[in-house]
Amino acid sequence: MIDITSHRKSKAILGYIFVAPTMVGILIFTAGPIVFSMILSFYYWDILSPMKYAGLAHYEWLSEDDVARTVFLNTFVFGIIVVVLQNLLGFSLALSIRNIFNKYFKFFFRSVFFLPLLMSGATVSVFMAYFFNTDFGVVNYYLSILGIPQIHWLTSSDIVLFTTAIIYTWQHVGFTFILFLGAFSTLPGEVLDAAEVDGITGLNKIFKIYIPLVSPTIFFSSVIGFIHAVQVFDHPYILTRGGPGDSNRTVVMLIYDVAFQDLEFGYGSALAILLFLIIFLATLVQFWLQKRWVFYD
Amino acid sequence: MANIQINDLRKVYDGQEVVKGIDLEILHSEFIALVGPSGCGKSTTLRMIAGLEDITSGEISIGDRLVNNVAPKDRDVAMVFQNYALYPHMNVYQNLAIALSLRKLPKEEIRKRVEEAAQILSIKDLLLRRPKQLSGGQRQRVAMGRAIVRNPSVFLFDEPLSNLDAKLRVQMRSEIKKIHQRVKTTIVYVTHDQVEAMSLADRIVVMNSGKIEQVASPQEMYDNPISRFVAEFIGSPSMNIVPCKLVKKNQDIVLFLENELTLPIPQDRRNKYINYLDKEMLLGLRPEHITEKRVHTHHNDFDFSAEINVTEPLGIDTMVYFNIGRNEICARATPSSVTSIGTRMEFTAHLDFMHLIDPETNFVVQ
Amino acid sequence: MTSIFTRIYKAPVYIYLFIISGAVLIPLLWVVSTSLRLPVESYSLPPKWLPTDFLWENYYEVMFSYYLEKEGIFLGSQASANIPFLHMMKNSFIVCFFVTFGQVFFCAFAGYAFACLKFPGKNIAFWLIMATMMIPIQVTIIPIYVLMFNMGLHDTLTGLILPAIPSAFGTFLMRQYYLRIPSVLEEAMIMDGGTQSQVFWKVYFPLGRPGMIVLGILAFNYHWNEFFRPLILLSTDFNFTIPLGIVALRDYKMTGSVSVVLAGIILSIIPAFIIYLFGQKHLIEGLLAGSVKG
Repeated sequence: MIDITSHRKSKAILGYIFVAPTMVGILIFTAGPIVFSMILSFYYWDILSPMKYAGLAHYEWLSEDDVARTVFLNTFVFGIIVVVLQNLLGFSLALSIRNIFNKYFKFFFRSVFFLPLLMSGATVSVFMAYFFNTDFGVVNYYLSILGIPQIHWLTSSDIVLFTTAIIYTWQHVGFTFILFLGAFSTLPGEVLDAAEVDGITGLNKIFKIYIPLVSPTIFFSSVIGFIHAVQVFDHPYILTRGGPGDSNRTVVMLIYDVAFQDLEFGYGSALAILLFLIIFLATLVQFWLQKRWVFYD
Repeated sequence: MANIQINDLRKVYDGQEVVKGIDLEILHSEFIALVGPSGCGKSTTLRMIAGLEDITSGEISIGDRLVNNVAPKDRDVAMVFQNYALYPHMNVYQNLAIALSLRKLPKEEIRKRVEEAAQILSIKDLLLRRPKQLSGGQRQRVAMGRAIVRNPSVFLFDEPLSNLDAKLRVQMRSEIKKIHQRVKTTIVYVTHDQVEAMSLADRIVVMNSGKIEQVASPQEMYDNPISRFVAEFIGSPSMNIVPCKLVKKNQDIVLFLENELTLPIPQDRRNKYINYLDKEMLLGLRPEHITEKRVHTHHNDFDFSAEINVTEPLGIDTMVYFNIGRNEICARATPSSVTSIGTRMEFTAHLDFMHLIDPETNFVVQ
Repeated sequence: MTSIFTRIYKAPVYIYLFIISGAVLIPLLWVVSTSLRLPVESYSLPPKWLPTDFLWENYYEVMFSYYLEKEGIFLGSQASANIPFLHMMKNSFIVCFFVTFGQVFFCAFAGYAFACLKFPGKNIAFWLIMATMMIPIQVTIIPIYVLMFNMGLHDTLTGLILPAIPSAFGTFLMRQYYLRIPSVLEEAMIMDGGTQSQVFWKVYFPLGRPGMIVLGILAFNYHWNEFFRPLILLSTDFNFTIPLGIVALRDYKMTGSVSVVLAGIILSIIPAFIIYLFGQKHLIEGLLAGSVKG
């Protein structure tokens, strides 16, 4: 006869033991820091001297500072470009893979698209910087052979953000690719067959069948993709250190400069909190919009 | 209403030949059923007619037009799937209308056709619902509606009733039959349920391992199966198959069964069967042709008795199981005549309906 | 299910796939072949796509020039002599080793607890942990730096490792894996007289191995390639991890020795690639399984 209460107790005790390390860790390294960050955003602090109360000074400065404005705008634009590109590429590549049946080619393509995800954003940026170098880079060399004038990929303030977005997408397309591969594999084959017989083919099929049926995945990839893209640091930092000027500077880069170069931890915290709020809001907006276009079973 | 001509159709899939050279002619307005066990190639054949599968070799013509290289949407066929395949993100009206609107039919025409189909299938008040709000039976009707609105030359059904419960299945069967009578389109209907095939089709095609075993009307197939496979496949419960031997007895030929029972042979078959004298053969007799002892109404009724193993009351009849030698035999008897398990009961075998099967070729001796 | 009609689309589909594959592979090919060229030629145009020189010296130089310089041996261009590359490799391995095993084990424990055990406060704890997944790392990095600084752990590998071990994502992943294991197995073991702890070690832990492999690969890969946190938490060359090392290498070098930097890059990719190869089957399955309807 099993004693139910002692069984329940042992379950509970084990539960606490098992959860404790992670729970404690999260409290110390995530939950606690968030609270501390929020508090810190109301103070001046350079870690060496005592904290000085600042009230809303940081936030006021933020709303007026041109650099901050540029940086947030850059980051936002970057996020949008990246999400659009990643979704387009991931969707089209996954759909293409579904239409080929040679298993060797399938394996080849799947591996290739996944490859860049294994690399560090830092190392990718290092060699991509060489690749896109205006004077010596491979890309411009071949463009010049085709008669196209040199493009200042990383040195023109108009283009550099876009170049960074391309490089970032290059590295991350494997993520949406896998996501959509998974989504397509769950589509009921019969519905796709029915569409063929009914005459919903080609582009019609893509827009009227595939897209609606995987809209939850499109939504998921957009939300996650935007959140990640907006936190980008490695690529713009290593490619151009934010330049020329501030045209390639993102929010996280500003946080880094402000907090760890200028030692203004209070202002840095304020920036981080603001970034977090924007991410949170953008996510909420996406969730609200999904009712309009996402179809759930 | 088109006819379908299938010539030496073959399909190789992953190195395996799943359809091994099929020839079939389907007349226009005919309701033809493809039946067979899983893996016999019936669904593959249907999909090749639809254009959803490549044809390895052979030809398919619909309405005298070769369609091997024609896209499904241009073959003028409509298909009803096993899992209904309704577009989950569209409501019923849109599901019915989509194919028509893609063909640029005028809106009034579409509305007319959709409402007509909805009327026939009694789904008029479901038009604004989404598939997930419908029951299985309702979804199946919508699936059929989607086929009907297209007014195609051929309807293709791929095991449409397999996912419905037994009662609903019977109900839908008669609905399908009524639709065929009303609309008179050629129908190719795939099922693994031979009862469905028998009750619905003008002609039945029994398939086995990629080949056609027999093509015949339901009654013909029941009365005169060509092969052991068809004999056992059609009819429920299956035909009894018992090893036997033709032996000479006093100027006559009789059937000698394992347990020493000797049965007379119908006279009109003597000349055919005499070629198989002394060979190991198989006797086929349907359960409905073994009854409780009755007054002999046919020439070749034969009485015998056996000990009952099991009984299965079905209401109108009772199935009685007994042994002949090592074989378990099934008989169909009037309930009141059945004695209890373990007792001996008197039976009459109506041997006019017997079949003799050659175990080497597995063909029924005609 | 094949159909002749998708075949019509096949040629353009293949073309598209090959073009994109090319876009992925070509830069990598350039990296590999240029890493094997003479440093002075690394930027010469037209670029040579197939390595002809096989200058393994570049690799040799990247790895050893720092150490050989101490002995008075000078290799190639000076700059790579400032990078203790092997130390950095070691650092990366140490960090990844501890973080991976730490995450895998502790998240297995916590995941199991959330999936199968009952205790007061379980739901609150779980949602708290899930909520933290939403917090971008930038919000926590400043306080973590402060904490490490005060604990004397800044510029140490420990300071890099510790905060990385508790993982909300890892806990979530393991919980999902454990939820899929039928509870009848636990009941059977209890009937056989096992304790709750034995249920975990003998049933769930072994069966949850695919999840742990997926988590392990993801954790290893992420931390091997991490740049931001190490940049902030580490300050001396000796303590750098590989990504920092590559960037430092690049900064020291002028355009004349790109090939040496690229050699370093290839070296840095290899371990991550090997780990991936070991568990890739599980990884793809795991990702596909989780990516369904949002």
